[in-house]
Amino acid sequence: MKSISQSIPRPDGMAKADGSALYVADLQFDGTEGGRSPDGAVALGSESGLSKDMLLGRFYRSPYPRGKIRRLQLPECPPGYHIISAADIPQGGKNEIPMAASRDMPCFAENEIRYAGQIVALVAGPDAYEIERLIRAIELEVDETPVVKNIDEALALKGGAIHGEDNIFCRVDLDEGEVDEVFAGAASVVEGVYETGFQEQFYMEGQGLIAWRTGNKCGVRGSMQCPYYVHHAVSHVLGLKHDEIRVIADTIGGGFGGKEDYPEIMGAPLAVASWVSGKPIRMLMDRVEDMAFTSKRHPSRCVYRSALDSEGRILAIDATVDLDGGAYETYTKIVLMRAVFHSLGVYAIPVFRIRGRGIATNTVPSGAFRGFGAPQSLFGIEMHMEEIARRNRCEVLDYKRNYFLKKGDTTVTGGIFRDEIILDKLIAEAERLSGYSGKRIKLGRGKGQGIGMSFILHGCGFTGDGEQKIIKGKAVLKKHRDDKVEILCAAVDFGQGPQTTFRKVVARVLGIEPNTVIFNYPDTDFVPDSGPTVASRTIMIVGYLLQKAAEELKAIWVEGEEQVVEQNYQMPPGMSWDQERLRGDSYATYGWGVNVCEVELDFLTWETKVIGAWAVFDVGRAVDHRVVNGQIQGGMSQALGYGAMEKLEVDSKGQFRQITMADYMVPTSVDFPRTEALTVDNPYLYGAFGAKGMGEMVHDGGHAAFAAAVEQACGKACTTIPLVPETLMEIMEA
Amino acid sequence: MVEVFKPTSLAEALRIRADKHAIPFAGGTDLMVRFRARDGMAPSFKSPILFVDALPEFNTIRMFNGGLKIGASLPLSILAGDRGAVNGGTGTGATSGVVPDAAVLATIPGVLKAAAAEVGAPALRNRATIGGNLANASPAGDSIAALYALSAEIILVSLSGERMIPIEKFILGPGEISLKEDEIIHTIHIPAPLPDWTYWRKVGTRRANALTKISLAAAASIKDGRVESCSFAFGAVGPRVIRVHEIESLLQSRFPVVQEAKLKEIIAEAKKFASSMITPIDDQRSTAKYRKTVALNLIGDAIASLVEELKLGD
Amino acid sequence: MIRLRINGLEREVEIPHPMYRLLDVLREDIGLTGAKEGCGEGECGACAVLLNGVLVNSCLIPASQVDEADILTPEGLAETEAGKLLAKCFTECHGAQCGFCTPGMMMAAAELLFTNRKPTEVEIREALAGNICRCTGYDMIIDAVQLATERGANIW
Ligand SMILES: Cc1cc2nc3c(=O)[nH]c(=O)nc-3n(C[C@@H](O)[C@@H](O)[C@H](O)COP(=O)(O)OP(=O)(O)OC[C@H]3O[C@@H](n4cnc5c(N)ncnc54)[C@H](O)[C@@H]3O)c2cc1C
Ligand code: FES
Ligand code: FES
Repeated sequence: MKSISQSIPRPDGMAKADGSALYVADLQFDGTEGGRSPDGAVALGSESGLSKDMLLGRFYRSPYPRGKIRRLQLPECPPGYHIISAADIPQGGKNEIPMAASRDMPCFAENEIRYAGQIVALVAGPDAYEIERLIRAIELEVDETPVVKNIDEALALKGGAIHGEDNIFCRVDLDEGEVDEVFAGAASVVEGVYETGFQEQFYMEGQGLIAWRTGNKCGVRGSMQCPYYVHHAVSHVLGLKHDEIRVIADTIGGGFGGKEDYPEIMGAPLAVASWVSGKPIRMLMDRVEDMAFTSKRHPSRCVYRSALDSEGRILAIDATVDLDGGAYETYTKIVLMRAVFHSLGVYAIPVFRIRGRGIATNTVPSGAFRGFGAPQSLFGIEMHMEEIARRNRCEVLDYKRNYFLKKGDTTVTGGIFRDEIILDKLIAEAERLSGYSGKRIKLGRGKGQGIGMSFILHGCGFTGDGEQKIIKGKAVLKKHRDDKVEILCAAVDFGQGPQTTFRKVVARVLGIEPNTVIFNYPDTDFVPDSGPTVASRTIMIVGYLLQKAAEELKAIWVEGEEQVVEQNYQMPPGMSWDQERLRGDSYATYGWGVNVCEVELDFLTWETKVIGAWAVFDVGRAVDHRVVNGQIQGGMSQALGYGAMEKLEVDSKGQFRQITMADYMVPTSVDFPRTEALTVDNPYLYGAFGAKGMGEMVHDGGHAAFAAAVEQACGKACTTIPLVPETLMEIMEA
Repeated sequence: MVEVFKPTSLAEALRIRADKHAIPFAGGTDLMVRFRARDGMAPSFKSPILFVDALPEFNTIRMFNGGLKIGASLPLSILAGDRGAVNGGTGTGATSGVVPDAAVLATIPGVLKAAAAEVGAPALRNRATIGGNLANASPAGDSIAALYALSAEIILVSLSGERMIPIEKFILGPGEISLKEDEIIHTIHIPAPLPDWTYWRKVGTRRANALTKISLAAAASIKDGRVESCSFAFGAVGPRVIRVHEIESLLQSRFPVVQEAKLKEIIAEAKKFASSMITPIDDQRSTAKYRKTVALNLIGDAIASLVEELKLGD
Repeated sequence: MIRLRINGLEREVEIPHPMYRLLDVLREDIGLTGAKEGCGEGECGACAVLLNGVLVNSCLIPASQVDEADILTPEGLAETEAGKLLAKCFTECHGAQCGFCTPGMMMAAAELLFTNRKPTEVEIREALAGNICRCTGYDMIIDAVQLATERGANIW
């Protein structure tokens, strides 16, 4: 039998290639009540929100960055137009976007403004020109307060606190051993400050949603990763019951986390507008609005201090991890948890103190982006290890090896690494492909060439007992009378592959052809809540539920009968977590990886050129090699972009300066060479066919490998990304 | 609603230009971005539009007295030698399907060809025209820097006739050109002799589809192993492309240089001249300091390459 | 009123505004939504079509400017042998992930192969440089074009 890893053509590939796949901007009303597209995959009738007289919706956003709202004057609305603001939230509903632990972000700004571009009102109507006129006629008066643009200004409490008394949204602290004592007795201390910037997700399809109302039911559909998150947000804001809401995810043109939180922020006010007006409304963001006002990756500043003994060995690490959370907390606490829990990387450090802070500023609320905090702190620890190895005049790989985690070691939260850790095998493959060690020695230092290696671990699935306590994922397999099997779950394929891998998992168990398995985009009227499509949980957690469901279905299979089986998430045996004290197994298991990057540096212009990129990962088992390698290559491209070119700055109002595709640079086909991708099997017992989560860790290490290579090429420490030529010039001329 | 005109002859185009003061519109790659409107709204043009892309004579390129005459609407893909454009008909003036003579294309100076090849990406170059790039008068306009180095002359036409103006006089400032309300750019003339050596270096924000942070275009004519004449033009380091004439007189007939030390001295002097003229700014793409430092670095690189060329000619 | 030959069919379109974009004609008036709007500024290539056989970004073109022209959209390409082959190769090689860039990539790849039957990897990368893909890192798109080059020897 063929290995499950052997790739199959993507079942969703043809429709995407021939242009027939329908994204939210492509949806056209088919004139029926409950119609569907020819392949049955997409709902096109009026019941699912489409109609001939769908209105156009647009936000009125605050031009002011910060202050108390003194007055909001809305213009007279001509017939057929609607202006919706906080006052329109129906009784029973709340003017809050509910996100994880936080409720601080309002749906419509009501009392204060915290960032330029904050949503104040929504204007809907048939004609774009009239909408524009109405938006211009809205008068907002704000008593302005000085703007906090970054972490330093936030900590200095410029203009008074934005949040609480100290601008700290949340803290995550970890302690092990007597840090101060160890530092007092240390032979030397190495300290470094490591910074990363904003990063734009840059999904190719901008944010887009449609909201509608049928009787007492509110619907939202469009481009989103997490239909049940949107469902929850709408229910909170409108005060509706579970079965009074319907959310449909359509084909989605990329997410990378950018469509995890934003569809709630955008969908809730849109749902209010549609609910109040009774009309279906479509809102599509153009590129500039999308880049200017949707959530980005948290900028970070990590400070690492290491106490060394006289032999240069690490005795203890004292670190701070600060994240710029933007104007509202939203998901910052969970991002911070992940950043802190990954802040010691793949290294076993006996004594440590880590202080994590999520900090309030007056920029767009930072949000989810592939890696979710890990790319930031992993950059910190990897660059710090480079620095320590340099001080010790020893090869960084040899130095790092002394600290590699092993099976049975304790995690930073006091849990246990239960599964085999195969870093040595991964390194051997990376060496074979890239020739790293030989080149590292041959290229010298400061001679314009360099090669860097970085290490990655990534906790799979939700942090702590989130899967068990919060998500409670459920997946269903339904066998129709014609014996066709349908997957019912809320996982969305935004390119990362479940349309392929889920079908393969189910088909393999049942001994059927993958492309006979029905798997439509989720519609909450029909699919159970298997959880959001985030946190590298899809194949490992939901895929595993489907595998179990398929096994059960196989056992009870009766031809020609409709049969339904359901699987609920269960925590793997032995795992435990204390959310109060943040102690225990913060993740069920981990993915591991090694990234290598080789660069050349042009001393005339300080431009870097990546001439080689290699990535070897332990993903448990690849359910499809091409799906997995596609993630690896795409993740590497994003990580290299993050490290090398994706500069995103804020201006004096805290607004982004790079808000067009001409100014925010993502890699094109000629910027980086092919990423040589490889996986080494290390099957995980509780993942689909041994699969672990991997969609995010592919973005965890490329930037650090790149920066390490650039350090070698330029002979100076590179502690800030992106390393654009302007920055490199400053570093080299300093 | 704006009026649009699609003249089929130059005479007709000039008449409309004179009567309506319509904006010439070639490939639209600048205009459509500048007047872009939001979803559901038409581009926000206010003045009448005059399509000049399809006028056959605007799509030509030919030899002229040892120099070159390039029609204003020639798409950059042709100057760049992109495969698709040369073999498959032209983009701008697409309906014309003009395929220029390969022998003429072979004479396009390297600096112009290289500059055109680094504008945007293939689909863009199929529409973007040299006349549009010129008239847009961006200090970062890539063909402009090359045309400065080639001492190009711009031929403008109106109902009252033709006038020719050197590029340095034609471009007045960012987005400002010496074009009367009834005039259209007709041809770009690159006078003879075509250079023996050229240099092009664009530093963009990435390797393709990137606007220029700084560029250096240079050209030289060489006679008997010496520099007969030369030119150095910098893009994106000031409100206009800057041609540093002092470097040119410095290098004229000075070469060949053999000693390293002498060469270093000359480069240092060249940098001094450039340094006083280059006044870049900070913006969302780069910093003033970076632009200036790199511009000066590129001078050294260009002069070294010129010296190499002279040695080869020996 | 303008006339266009779109995917081989003569179409007459009443445009609401003289500077109405070709992309809007295709998507809004004809209902061909294969070409996508990724930026509306000529930067991403998602809206690419062939105009008289030449690759262009339809978001930058007023439809009235190209009255009488011949347009091939992703849907039209998909009907041809070349398009079917390319689509198969993209599917097999996983050259499409989220798929939003894919129709534009198909157009750029088709134009390349129509004019250069045996492109090198460098030539493929250059031909696709105006088509941004955020998902794949481009490598599997290159694989797909290379596979199409091999398999389509008698098509290109
Ligand atoms: C994605 C993208 C990337 C780009 N990258 C680059 C780059 O790397 N380097 C670069 O230099 N540029 C770049 N540009 C800009 C470049 O495309 C334009 O400057 C182009 O060359 C303009 O030509 P056009 O025919 O499209 O001009 P149009 O938009 O048609 O016109 C531009 C201006 O020229 C005037 N004009 C046009 N023809 C005439 C004429 N015959 N007589 C008088 N006036 C005339 C118009 O009135 C207008 O003011 C880029 C643009 C985009 C959208
Ligand atoms: S939408 Fe036309 S190039 Fe991006
Ligand atoms: S496949 Fe998603 S942008 Fe290319």
